[in-house]
Amino acid sequence: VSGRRLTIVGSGPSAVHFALTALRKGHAVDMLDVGYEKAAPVNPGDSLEQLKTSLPDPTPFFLGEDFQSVLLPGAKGEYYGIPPGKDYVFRAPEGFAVQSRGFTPLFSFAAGGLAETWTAGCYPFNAAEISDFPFAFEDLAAAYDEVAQRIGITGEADDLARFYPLHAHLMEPLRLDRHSAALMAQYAQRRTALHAELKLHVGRTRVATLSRDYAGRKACSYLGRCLWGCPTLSLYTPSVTLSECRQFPNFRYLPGQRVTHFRFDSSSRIQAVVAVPRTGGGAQEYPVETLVLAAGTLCSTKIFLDSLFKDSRETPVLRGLMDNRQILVPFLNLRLIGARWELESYQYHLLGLGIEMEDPRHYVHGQITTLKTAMTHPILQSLPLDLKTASFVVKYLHAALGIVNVNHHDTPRPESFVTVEAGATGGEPKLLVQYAPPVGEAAFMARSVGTVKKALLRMGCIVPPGMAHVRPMGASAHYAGTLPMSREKKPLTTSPLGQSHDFENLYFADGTTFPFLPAKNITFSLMANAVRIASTL
Amino acid sequence: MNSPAQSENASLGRECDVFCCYLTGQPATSFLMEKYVAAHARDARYQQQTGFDRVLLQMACIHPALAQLADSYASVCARTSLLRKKLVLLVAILESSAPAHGFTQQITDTPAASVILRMAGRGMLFALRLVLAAIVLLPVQFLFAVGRGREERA
Repeated sequence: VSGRRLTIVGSGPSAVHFALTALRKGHAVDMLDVGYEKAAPVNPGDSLEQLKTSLPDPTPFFLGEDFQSVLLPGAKGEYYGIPPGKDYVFRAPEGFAVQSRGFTPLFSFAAGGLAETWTAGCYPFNAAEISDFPFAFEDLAAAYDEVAQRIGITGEADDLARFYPLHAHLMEPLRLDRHSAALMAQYAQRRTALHAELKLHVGRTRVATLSRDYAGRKACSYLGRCLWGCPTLSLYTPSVTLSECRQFPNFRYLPGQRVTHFRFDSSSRIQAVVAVPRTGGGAQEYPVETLVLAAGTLCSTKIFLDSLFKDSRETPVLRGLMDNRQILVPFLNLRLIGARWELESYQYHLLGLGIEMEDPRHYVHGQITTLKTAMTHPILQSLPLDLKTASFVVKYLHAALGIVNVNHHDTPRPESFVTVEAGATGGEPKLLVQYAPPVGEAAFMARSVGTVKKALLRMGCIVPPGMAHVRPMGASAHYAGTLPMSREKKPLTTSPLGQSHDFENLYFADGTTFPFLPAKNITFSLMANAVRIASTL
Repeated sequence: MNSPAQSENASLGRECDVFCCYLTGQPATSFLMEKYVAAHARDARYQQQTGFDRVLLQMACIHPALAQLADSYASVCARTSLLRKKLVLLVAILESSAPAHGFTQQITDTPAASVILRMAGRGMLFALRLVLAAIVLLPVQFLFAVGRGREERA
């Protein structure tokens, strides 16, 4: 190995693609990670329905060993519908404390990070959306091509290509389920009016799920198990790339270690990272040559803040935290009432929508999911009917049900910030997160959701009154912006290449450095940005 | 002589059987009963009950028809009641189990007009059940609420 020795913290999408690029360039990489692992898939050849018969006891798979996935009436908080098999993604190690206001943060300490539960949407930012980033669109475009080649992305050049630039290595799209196909046909009939009057466009989403065998992974076999964890790795998750990194002799994966802070000298050069074993026990130091924080915006920010706090007891306030506001708009497709639904089909979004805005950076993004194999008891109990009648109603409407997940952009604002405060009895500092929505958000939301409802109505779908659900901030888990990239060398920012302006041998490779957050799912851009930065080392 | 735990499990088994008949038209299989009892043993939320919860549950356990009557009332006037929690648990177990246990949601293609007519019929029956149940249960719920209010003030 002739290159640098890099220490990467985290194993999510940014971390693994940074690592793979660095490894291919000949650098040595140590990856420190808490790294909770997923269990091996059960009966990988069985469809979701077959599992109900083939497993001797299917209830632990569907509801959990302690029936913890049963959503009981009166449950508080946001319902994420995460199946028991993915509980490991949200498992938190001891000692990690957070307090939030106006924000419900999600954290993951799993190998692969939060993206182990993602829905695989891959939407490149366009030139307008990165106009606040201190580099040219072309710099990122090459990285999008590279990531697409690594992970396999399906999609096509359709009406949504005006919002998502086309990139190389785009694979033919997945098979549409019956409802999605019907929606596309209904859109085709109203397309001209929808464009002219609502500036709304519908098309195929881009997803990191294979439509053909690729790079040692199998094509989607439409088992209906997407939500429960793809048993064939057709749906990409970062753990695929982590496995690829582990093939390199110059890669060391060190799971079971939660990095709490780094230690630096008087010339602000980082000397070591300090980690505590997830199983408990004393902290351990790992010497560092170049440190790359890629643990996700909030975790990377906490490590940075804790390091300053440990050194000087200072608690800087990092302003500009961003996240996408999401609104769930359920709908009923009148043409599919009484239709049989397809259990053996792709379960996540196959269609998307985009709404043009005067400022192209304010584009509104939507993902359309048709409901097929999700558990129905959360829906049944929400209806003001006895459960037998509710079951009858849902049975005959099931094929007609869908949901649009509407996403808004976000901008950095001083009222939304992250800081830390001293922990109890001198322990690890506690992360404090505060978020305040932008002025005018309600009007923007009314406009975007109103446009979606009008478009759905013209396509023969109705949105039941009062059913649109504004998700709490934090629910999208697209966090960004606490230590933004800047051309100007000033404290608490990074260079355009993610290099800290405070510590010369520190890089940020995750969303921490994004100076603007478009409405799209950022995971593809996180991966591409990590590749862009690592390519220059 | 049965231990308290055995009696409790037998009682839960009977409850599961009645609820299963209400929801699926079939008695509960031993597998369903075992899962229903196991869930109760693992989650304290199925033990917490108010006075009105007890009345609602006792009524529902008499017969599947009364279970539907009580559920109709609870779906509007006692949405977080213990009865609803237990019924939702059973639905969750049923939808996670093989169709042989009596619960399937798949249908054959049915004309929309037929579906709408059948839903209208079911809706009217539901409204009738709700009115009937309210005549009996609304005063009871009111009395329990008044009693609880007095206890809290005392």
